[in-house]
Amino acid sequence: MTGSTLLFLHSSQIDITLNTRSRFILFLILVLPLILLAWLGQRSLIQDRIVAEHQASELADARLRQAQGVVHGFINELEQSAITALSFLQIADSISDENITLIRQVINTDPFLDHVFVLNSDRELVFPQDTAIYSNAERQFVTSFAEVLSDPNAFRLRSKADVIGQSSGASSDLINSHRYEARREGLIASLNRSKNINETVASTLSDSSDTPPRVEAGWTTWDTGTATDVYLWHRTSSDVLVGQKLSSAYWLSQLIVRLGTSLDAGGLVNATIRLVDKRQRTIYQAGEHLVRDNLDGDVMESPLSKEWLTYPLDGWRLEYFAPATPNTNFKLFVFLSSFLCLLALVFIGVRLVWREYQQKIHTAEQRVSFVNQVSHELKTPLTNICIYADMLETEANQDEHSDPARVSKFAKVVTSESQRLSRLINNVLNFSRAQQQKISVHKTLVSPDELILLTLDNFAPAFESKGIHVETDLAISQTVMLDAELLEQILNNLFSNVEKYAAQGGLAKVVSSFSGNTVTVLVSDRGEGIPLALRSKIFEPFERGSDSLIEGVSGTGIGLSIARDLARLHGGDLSLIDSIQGACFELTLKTEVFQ
Amino acid sequence: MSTFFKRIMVAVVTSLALSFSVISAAKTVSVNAGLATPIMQANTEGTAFLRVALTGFELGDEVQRPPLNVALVLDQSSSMSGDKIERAKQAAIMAVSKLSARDVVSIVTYDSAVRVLVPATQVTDKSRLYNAIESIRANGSTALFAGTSIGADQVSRFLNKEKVNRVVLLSDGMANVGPDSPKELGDLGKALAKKGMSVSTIGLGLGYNEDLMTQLANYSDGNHDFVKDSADLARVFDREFGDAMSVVAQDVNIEIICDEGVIPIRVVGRESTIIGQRVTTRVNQLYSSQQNYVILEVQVPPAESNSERQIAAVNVVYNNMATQKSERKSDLVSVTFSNNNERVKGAIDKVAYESAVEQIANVETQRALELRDLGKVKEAKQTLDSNASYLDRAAKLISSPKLSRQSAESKAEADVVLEDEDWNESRKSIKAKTYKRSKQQERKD
Repeated sequence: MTGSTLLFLHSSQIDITLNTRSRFILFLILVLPLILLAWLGQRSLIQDRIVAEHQASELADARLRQAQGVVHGFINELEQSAITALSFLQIADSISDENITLIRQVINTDPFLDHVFVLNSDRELVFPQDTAIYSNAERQFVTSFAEVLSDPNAFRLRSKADVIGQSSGASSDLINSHRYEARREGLIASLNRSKNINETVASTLSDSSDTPPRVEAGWTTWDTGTATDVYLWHRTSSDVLVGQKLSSAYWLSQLIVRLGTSLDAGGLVNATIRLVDKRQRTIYQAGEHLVRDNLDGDVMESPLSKEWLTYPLDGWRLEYFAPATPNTNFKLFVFLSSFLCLLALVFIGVRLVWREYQQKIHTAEQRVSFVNQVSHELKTPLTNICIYADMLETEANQDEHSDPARVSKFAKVVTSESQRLSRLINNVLNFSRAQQQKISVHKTLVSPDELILLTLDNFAPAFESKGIHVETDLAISQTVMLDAELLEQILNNLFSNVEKYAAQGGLAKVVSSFSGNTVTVLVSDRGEGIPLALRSKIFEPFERGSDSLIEGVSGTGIGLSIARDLARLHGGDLSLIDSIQGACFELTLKTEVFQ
Repeated sequence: MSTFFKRIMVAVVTSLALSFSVISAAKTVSVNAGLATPIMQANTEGTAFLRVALTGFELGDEVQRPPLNVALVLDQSSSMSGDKIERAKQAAIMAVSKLSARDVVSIVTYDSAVRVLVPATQVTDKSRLYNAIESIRANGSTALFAGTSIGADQVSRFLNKEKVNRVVLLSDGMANVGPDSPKELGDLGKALAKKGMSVSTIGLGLGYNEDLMTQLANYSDGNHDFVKDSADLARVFDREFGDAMSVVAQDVNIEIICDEGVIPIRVVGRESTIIGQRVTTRVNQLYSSQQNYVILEVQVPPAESNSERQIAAVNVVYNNMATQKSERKSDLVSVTFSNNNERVKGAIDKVAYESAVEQIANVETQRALELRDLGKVKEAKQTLDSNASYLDRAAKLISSPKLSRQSAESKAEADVVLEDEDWNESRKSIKAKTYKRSKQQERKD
């Protein structure tokens, strides 16, 4: 027994030391892959996002380039058509009245045109000029135009691309001259009121068809503080500069229409494209994506992509807005949630394993304590038996002086200690049998009260030595079918508890009753009772109300557990019931009445 | 006494007969030019007002009304939400229900962006149009410039001299996306007028910019209305479409060539070009049985008593919607000089005089508004007060109840400019009133 106990102790100690290390290993095994997983996941997400952002910005760039193409195409067309609108004018250094009439007609009918001006080769304004008869609007224009005119760089070419016709080749020259004619014919039709004018136009038509136009042209933008005036001009072969002030409102309007048609055809469901001018003013926006603006109109959301426009719209830009790629957000959500789920699962698993492990440690500790307890319990009666048997032998050897009373007393002690030993061994045996569920009930005809008294008799010396007074109130006068051995063992355990834990109360009360087919026995004491926290635990094996080895009270911790198991085997129960002082156990046993 | 009645009877009968003969004879615009003061004081340099009256013929049963080519451009910015947008939708549906298969309509909505809800199309499937209108939801900012541009583009797809080409714009808020100044919108209106479109603007509530809305409509002689209560939208839309359907002449170019010595000074209350002796102005359209007029202020050199001279020749070229032909009408204006004050007074053409005073006073009211805008409240009040007394004097001179009413209005406005409270509403109301007066739009209200 001692050897196995030692072995047991040893192994459990090894177990514990192994577990502290394994705890760390377990932690590493579980957490390291998690960290790795998180890192990999994050990396792949970042990569996904980079890819998605790249795709989005490529799409944005493509769309913006398309829009940019529309704007630049529009500007080119505007340039072509605006210059051809005036190119019928064959202006030398002076300007004829017919030409003036024609110019005024064009201004009145062409929505793109606000004003027309003509500079001679010395860059002097020949139309409109204040020596001629002119309108209020023309007078105002001359006043506002003086500033532009005073800038020597105002009408200087800015890049060679501005030279129309030279860069676009022969085919576009052809288109150009077609446009000319279309334009001129339209004009003839509109001016059919005057025969005189008709002739003028016809003559210019025949003149220009011989020489395809090679026009030096350019744009001039002029900030007036409140607005930006846009001038488009070209130099004729006789070095006369014919310019026009465009109606900003109208070319912007037409640009918006052009851009709108093109963008609508492209379908901007989840994006918005904006045209922003030099003054940071949104000229136009298209698309279904609602750009977050604050109340002042400043953009809160920053564009995904930008594309600057070129001369003459330098300083203007196109902006592309779109919501952050939802794809990546969804992936992030899935990744995060699954990661969290995994984390939670791991945590729960660790908790479960840990609890199991703790329980095992606890059971092992209880077993060790049980073995210690049993050894201790066995040792006490054995020592008593040895001493009294020795004393009995001495007494027997003193023949003449032997005192029969002393012999009898010694023998009684030996007997009672043997009985106690036997009970103990029975308990242990029953416990192991109960663990293997090998106990069977053998009912015989017994009187429960007699059995109670008999058991109390057995305890009488122990109770007497500890000053425990016994009170009984036994009310079962008949005999019933019971397993006497089983009942005795339960009672032994209960009385032994009173002896061990409630001796200071000085009372053991036993009450029995019988009703229906149930024998009820109440065993109560006036000891300290059982603390509330322990009440649910006392019936568990190896649990004891207090630690005996420390407090000097013996006990194995299996008594109540066995008693309850036995009672339940007999179709009854053992339970702790409430009492004012001390502990009170109620034992019930199912039986059959036998008359 | 009986001779007096006879005279009256004769006058009535002849005038009736005359007017009948005009109506039945030809479906043309009648042009009448004359001075407010046909007899002027002799031997002094004087200012005279020349009135050119244009009267649209009646669209009878035998003449089909001109087909419309209209873009309805509706504000659906978030400020329109609630009752406003619902009323606007009802009004739009009501307007569409009046159209026929000969008409072309497009529906454009704008908030931060612009949507062509229904591209310009012949009105054959009205339920499709109703559904489109019903689907409008208010949200976002006000891209008024882009909305107008795209509405105009829709009209330009079916642009045709034989149609009434018009953009009808409804807005309740400040343009806050895109060009937003009255000048820019005015320039757009001017360009669209050059293309042959008119723009009518309807300002709803107290949030819109009345300067912008009136300037946008101004060049094309479009209508402008200030609708304070959205319940009135249906009535205004109805009037607007009724107007468009009653157009009898479009692209009316008026040319007044002043005789030597007569100096043209200004055309009162409207855009015009004066080059030397030649004055040109343009009226976008004339309505059935409605009279529109243009007032030209001229400086007349002194002349001897009892002499007579020609002041100007008036030429009007317009596109007749009934015949779809360009027609030309002319008239001559002359003046007689006299030393007799009573004769001068007695000869006053009351109608022409009334028109001239009405427009001059209207320009003064507009000037008062500008003063008020500059913070010169006192000067604004002064202007309106003297305007009121000017109107009052003129009203007494020709005993005109109309001018008396205008005088009372001016007096009331002189008090209103002093108040800061409700100025926003008053300004919109005055702005709309002066606009309508300058376009003689109020005749139909």
